[in-house]
Amino acid sequence: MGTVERDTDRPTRIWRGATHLYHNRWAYLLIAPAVVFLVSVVGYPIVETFRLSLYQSPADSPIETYVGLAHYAAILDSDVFYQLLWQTGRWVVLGVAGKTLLGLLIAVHLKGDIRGRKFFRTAFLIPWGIPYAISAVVFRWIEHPQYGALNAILMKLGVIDQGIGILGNPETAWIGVVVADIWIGTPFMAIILLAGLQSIPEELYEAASIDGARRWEQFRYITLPQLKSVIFIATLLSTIWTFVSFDVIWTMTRGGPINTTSTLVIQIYQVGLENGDLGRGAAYSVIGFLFLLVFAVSYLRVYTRGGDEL
Amino acid sequence: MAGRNRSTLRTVRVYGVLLALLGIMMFPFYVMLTSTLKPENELFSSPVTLVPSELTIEAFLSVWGQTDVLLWVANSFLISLGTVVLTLVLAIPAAYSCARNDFVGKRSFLLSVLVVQMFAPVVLIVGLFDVITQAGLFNTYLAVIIPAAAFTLPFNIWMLYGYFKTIPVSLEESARIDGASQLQILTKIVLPLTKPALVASITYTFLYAWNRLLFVLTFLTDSAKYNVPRGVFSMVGALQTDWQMMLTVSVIGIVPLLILFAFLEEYIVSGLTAGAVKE
Amino acid sequence: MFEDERERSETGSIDRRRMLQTLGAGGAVVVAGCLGDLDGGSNESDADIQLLTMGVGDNIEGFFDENNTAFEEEHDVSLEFTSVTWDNAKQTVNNRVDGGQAPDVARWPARWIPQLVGKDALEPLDDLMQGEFYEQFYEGMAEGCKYEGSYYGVPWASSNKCLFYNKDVFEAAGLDPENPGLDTWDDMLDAATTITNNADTPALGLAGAEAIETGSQYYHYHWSHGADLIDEEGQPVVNSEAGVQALTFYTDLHQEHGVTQSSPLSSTRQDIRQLFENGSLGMVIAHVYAGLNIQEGDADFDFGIVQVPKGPEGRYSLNTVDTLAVLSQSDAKELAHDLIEFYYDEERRFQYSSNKGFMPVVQSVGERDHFTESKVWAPFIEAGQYARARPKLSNFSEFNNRVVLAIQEALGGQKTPKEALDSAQSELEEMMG
Repeated sequence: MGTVERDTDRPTRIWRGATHLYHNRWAYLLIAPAVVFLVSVVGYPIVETFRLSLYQSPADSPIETYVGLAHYAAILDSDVFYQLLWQTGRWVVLGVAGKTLLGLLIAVHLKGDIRGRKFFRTAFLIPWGIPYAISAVVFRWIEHPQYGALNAILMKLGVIDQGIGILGNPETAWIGVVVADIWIGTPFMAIILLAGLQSIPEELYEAASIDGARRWEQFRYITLPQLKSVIFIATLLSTIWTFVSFDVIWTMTRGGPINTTSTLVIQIYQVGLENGDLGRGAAYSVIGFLFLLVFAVSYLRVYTRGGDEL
Repeated sequence: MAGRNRSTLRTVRVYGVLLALLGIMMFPFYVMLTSTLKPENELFSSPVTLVPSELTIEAFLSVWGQTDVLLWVANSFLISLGTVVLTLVLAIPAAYSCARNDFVGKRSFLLSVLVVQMFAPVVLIVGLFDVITQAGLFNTYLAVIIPAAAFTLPFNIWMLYGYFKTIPVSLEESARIDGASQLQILTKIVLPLTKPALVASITYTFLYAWNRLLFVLTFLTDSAKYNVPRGVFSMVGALQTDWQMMLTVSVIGIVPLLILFAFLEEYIVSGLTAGAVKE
Repeated sequence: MFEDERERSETGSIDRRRMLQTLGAGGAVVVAGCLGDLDGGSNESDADIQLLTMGVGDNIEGFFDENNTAFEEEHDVSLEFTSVTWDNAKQTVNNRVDGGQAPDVARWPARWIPQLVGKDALEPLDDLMQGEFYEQFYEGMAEGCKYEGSYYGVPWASSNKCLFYNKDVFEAAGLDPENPGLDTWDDMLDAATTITNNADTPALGLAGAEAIETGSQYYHYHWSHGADLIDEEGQPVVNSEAGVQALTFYTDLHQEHGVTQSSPLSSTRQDIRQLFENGSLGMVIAHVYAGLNIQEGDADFDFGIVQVPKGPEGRYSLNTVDTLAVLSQSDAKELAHDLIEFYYDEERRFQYSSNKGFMPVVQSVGERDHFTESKVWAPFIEAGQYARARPKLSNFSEFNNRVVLAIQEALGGQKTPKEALDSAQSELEEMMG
């Protein structure tokens, strides 16, 4: 039935499509530069990643052999993949949650018209202005078992009497790297959420305080709903960025000890570039992409289902 | 009277929270800063000194004398500004288009823009290298600016899109009746109202390009074009790494940023009243 | 939008890859055109010759600056000098080779030669490596640059290991600092135990972090116990009886005897070297560089250097040779030869070796008093007789990573040394087919 209907409607459909295109020609023209740019710059690298994932491409030979889905099968069949998946999930969920909460806390307190706001706002941005790998170096130092500042403090406070190595303990190393990532990512969240807070009309709060709403209630019933779209965009992007982030873990632990801080991206680097198995690395890359895509689509769906427009 | 007490209490609480947060957020930076001001051999004492035994600016002097730190800062600025301009030129029209029109493919457009970020750059770089060299851009600033813009574009489009949507269409319509052109509406009415978002976008894009090592490392060989991170990492030696110099350059690299932030801050504040319009 | 792209490329019969690539490049050119050229027209490198090296610290930067300028003047050419970090070196050079932007001359570790030769990316240097030029090198080092019958590099820098000990710590523990008696691993363990019991300083530096160098530190133990990494057929043999003994000894230093610094699983080779240089460690296996560094700094302790301890099956000092190689993509090969010959002037070699803290590769340089008469250099020159290189495998880093994982599993107590090496062995067998 569907086919019949489509056949008879065909001219109308084309006509309607053409009219739509014509009516929205400005809309399409305005997005065209961005589309052309992105396709030119990253179109080929992305397609190449997909293509490579079907090939055996050893680092020591110019010859590539087609292997079909062999890389995918091998990955899905390996125990390390599921371990990495769990570790990546832990890294992303805790990292994004930490950055969002801390960022929100900072943004909410910076919103008001307080003395020294300029100082605070500039100061909170500092972590963002340091190259990631350098921040990671600093955190590795702070957590260093021998000359770490954290140990120095804990020793002074009498909590411990000998240096502990957070990053050298398979049970705790992941906490050490997540903390560094949260520190680096918090200023971004704070700035974005602050921008969002600033666009909430003051009248809403005035009306609410006349109605006798408490601070917490104002936050719960005005701030959060008004911030919803900003939080949505920021957490969506932060999730993607945290998922693909590389510098922090690589600089601090290289995924160790015993692979406990490794994530899919660390594995991609080790397999694809360090070990020179580019095809396998590309396959890992595609799998990671699929996870993110499914996440982004379902996150969007959940968001728009709540009645909000995209 | 009671009201004033409550507001004083509230101010105290806000400052308390802010100072506590600042303490946490500044601690790593404090460690970094004091490490540049300590005598070098104190960096690796065990346990480490939390307060330097003596302050010295020797590291700053040797960075000043031995490295091209000013050149790196200038290059970082050039690369960051280039990325900001390129990104905004592409993102503003696209975001505006999506906010004001409901066309077929809008959703897929917004989603596909995100796809760019879903691949680890360490793998994409292999293909990106071909694109850059085929275009004859290897060893030019554009070899860094173009990939950086491709990676900052998604956030910019989404961020600006979200903001443009909150600006009442009625404002634009009345301007149109007054005979303003499309471009005038965008630059005179829409963009000024989007200041907070623009500032956030610019900050993000600027810092993304500022912090990026990978593109400079891969696409630039000419040391006259190095940016700050590349300069910092040129100090990692095979057997010896001069940590203090690295940290010192990083600290110096923050100074121009802080000036810029302070400047943008003025801008946010002045843009605030206008930005508070929302339906 | 991506869908369209893919569809179009599938219908085309010409090489899809090439087309997409050109398309992408075209787009980038358009963008470049729209923006105007920010560089004032300097697209690709306009230098006559490019020299790439790794990890140029500030101690050697001046050496290159000065000599590169001298070379430019001597030959009336322009030279572009790039230094990349070790972390990114292999990837950066490979990217540049794949993208047709290889440098003309590059420093390249001998152990990475097979990988680039496989890609036809290195130029054989047999016509250079003969006669007088060849004979200036220590034979072992020159032969280290040979792969499949050809020389693909000229020895540039070399490094090996000795055992450093802190005389002050030894004295504080009641040991004789002038006759430390550190001939065998067991001697080392005895001394370490005495230090642990009688002094505050951790006795021994043990590397256990996830890093390439953790392997390099451990192999001394492995080899001297009579174990090997691969056999003559190139098959992995890491879990031999002797290998298990070696790893057991290594992990017991931490777990059983507790004579190491705390938390070895987070310590890289650089970490333990740094600890020693600051006087916070009794003993460490390290490069000559550690000694030069201590002498240069204002450390307030005295140290001694002895050979790496002997195991039941001999004594080994891990030896690494880096080469200067010419890339086949180079269109300045003659100039590249000139550059190499320029840098092998004996005086320049001396400057380089003494500044940088790498072992001399040229015999006449190594025989100079500066090295033979020096308390720091002499033991390392002597260690030349115990030199042993890592196996030449084109996928050695993958191999090494797997072994490092086993070391970590054993050190962390997750597996016994035997279990750890057994699972490494079976995975390596699978990997190497």
